[in-house]
Amino acid sequence: MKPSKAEKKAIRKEAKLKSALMTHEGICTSSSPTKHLFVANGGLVCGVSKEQLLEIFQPYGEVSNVVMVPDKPHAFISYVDVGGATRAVACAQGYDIRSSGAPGAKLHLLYVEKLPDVISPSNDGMVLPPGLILVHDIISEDYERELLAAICWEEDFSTQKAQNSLRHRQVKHFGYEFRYDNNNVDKDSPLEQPVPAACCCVLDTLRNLGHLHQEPDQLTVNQYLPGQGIPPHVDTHSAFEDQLVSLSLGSAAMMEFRRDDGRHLPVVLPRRSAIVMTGESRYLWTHGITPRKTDVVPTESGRGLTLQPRGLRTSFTFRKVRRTPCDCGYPDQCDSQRSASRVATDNTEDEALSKSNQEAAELECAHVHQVYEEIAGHFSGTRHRQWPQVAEFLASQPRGSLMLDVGSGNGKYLAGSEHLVKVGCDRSGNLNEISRRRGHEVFGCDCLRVAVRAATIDVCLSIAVIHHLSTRERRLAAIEELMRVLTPGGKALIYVWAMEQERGEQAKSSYIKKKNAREGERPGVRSGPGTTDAASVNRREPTTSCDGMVGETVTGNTGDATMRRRSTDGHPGDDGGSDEVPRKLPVHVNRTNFKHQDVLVPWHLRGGRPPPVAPGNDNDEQTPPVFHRFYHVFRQGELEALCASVSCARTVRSFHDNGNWCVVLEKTREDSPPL
Amino acid sequence: MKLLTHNMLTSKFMKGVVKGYPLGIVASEVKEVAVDYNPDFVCRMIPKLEWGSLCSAADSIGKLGDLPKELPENIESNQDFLKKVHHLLMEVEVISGNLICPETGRKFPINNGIPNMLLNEDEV
Repeated sequence: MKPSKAEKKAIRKEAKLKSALMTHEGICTSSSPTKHLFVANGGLVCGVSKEQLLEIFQPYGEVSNVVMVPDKPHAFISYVDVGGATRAVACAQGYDIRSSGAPGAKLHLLYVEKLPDVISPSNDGMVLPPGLILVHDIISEDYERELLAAICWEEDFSTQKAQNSLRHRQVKHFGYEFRYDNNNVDKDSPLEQPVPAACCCVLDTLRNLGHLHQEPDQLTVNQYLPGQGIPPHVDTHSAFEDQLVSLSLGSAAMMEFRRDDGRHLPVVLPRRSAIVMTGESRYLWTHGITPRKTDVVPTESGRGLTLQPRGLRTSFTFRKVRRTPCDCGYPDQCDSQRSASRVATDNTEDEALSKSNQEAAELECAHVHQVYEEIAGHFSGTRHRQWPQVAEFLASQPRGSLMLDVGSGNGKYLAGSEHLVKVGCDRSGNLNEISRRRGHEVFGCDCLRVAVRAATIDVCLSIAVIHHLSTRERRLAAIEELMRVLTPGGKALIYVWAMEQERGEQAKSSYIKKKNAREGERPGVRSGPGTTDAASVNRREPTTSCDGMVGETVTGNTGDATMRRRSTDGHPGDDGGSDEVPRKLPVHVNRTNFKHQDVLVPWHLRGGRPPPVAPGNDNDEQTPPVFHRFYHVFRQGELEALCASVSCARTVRSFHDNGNWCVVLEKTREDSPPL
Repeated sequence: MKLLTHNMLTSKFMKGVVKGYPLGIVASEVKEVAVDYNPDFVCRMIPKLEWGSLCSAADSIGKLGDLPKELPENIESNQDFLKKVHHLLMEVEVISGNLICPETGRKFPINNGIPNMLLNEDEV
């Protein structure tokens, strides 16, 4: 019997949900009943709270866990036994959530094998950005009323229209006017109304607690209706001193703190509490309030999340106007100091990433060289087609030119192009073996030390190689190596992976488009040569992100075969137990946009092992190992800027090709140094 | 490894090495493969070669034959000569053996036709 239209639709919908579940949570659905249920349309995004879910699901059995996932339309429920889950599916499948007062659709339930491993994306409120002080119950309800009474909003509508006409909230200033056109204050024109005397008491309290060391002379009062917010911002350094005080009256709110490295810490500001932003939290972290009517907050017990409606909130922000240029310890982010330090910005990320060349080499050894060696067979099986623009570049080279592909991988670009004489080199012995079996001429070498005498090569390729180097210095050195081996007038084509995977509205790269592809990898990535066999694991400052779906971090015990192998090999030169130090580079989620420039990109090994023995890799066959490759993805303009500092190189052309930044360089005809 | 590749390779990037060229060859297996003869390619390649290095390389694996030690003139019209060079550059392959740094004696192994020019950490 053929399925009806409605049945077909239901089947399609279920397949879509299963796929989304696998993609976003990495969780498999189960065809037979389990204790755990995936609840589509029962999540926080659909306006459903944990309490509501319990109300719906408790009648069917004892619920052992409810997992609300921030920013998702679904949730998870676990019963103590399978019977509870089975009854829930029998009775609550298709339950119309609107009947319990929430604006949503019908629940769709699926059995799953397990709950998501980690649900910590929304800060449980315990972790604060460095330097942020939160004082609960700093004022009484009586004092709260007194302060609110000190602000007369009605008067403002007529006399201070410009000030309170902000789209998102009502605003009033005391002491000095804060100007939103230049995000600064007019320091020579104090307002008639100073900071109201009624505020002295709370400021004294903060001083007595040791949280405040100055006398604020500027007050901004904001009033937020439910659904209103304030965009993320850092208060202008040159406008105010350190220690910004913000008092929350009338209702709680969720303030979101973010750093440029992707860290994101939502902090619940309870009613009648104060925060003092000092140091890093004042100078480096943005703070803002997302315009919405409810916040996802930790439950009373501190375990799990729920929804909290917002009420009318009034905040008092006290600041001290700065009279001298800012001399904070964060010159790159400081408007007073920025002009002098602009040059340094370029290198900040490198400094954070790799303290030394040695550490960079070790990172690349573990997360580039060893990985390609182990995934070579599978990797090569996914790399067949030449990228059209690379093929075009090769086709345009003069007949009889000698071409060297530095990082030739499985020899994809050594095939064809019969008008050229082609030689490849790669760091990976296993990839070189594959090239050799295909009849290509290759040798083993490192892209930082290409073992070829100077000025011998007419055409160089460097496709998907330089993004595997972990410092700017090393990326630059790799390009200089290409220029060294080229004859004057010779051309090099360089491809690196772009941070920007979407260009314009229609121009998603095929990497992003293939989101649902079986293998979470991209076409055309090839081996990254790098450096030496090396020893200890380098340490990095943790880049923790609370956005668990994308900011997952990897540690030495996550089952990464590469790391496990390293920790048991006992390389000489390890500096005392550093193998145990978890590496905290963020792990990228395949087929999504990049959130960080320096990332580990997972490779899920499938199918057969690489032909040669991979020593120390004893994973059982049931769990395909995941390898993490290091990438530095390039921002727009970064590759061109890098090439601009290469001697004897002229950029002929630069372009974006399917999620990559690309340049064609020409070796200038200046005399190159002898051999 | 073709002798064309050998002609390009150097160990100059090693610590303490000044020139690192040409690399010596100790071959334990050499074979010949057929590659289409293309006189244009050979003519274009010859000026980029270190001629002396090609001769000594060919000699060290017993393939020198009657190749002149000095590069002759008017090679474009000398088909016999071009064919010999083509054969040496493109058709003779060292399958296994070692490349030897002329200054340090460091051996770079050739296995399955692939020279391995990677260095250890303490050599750079």
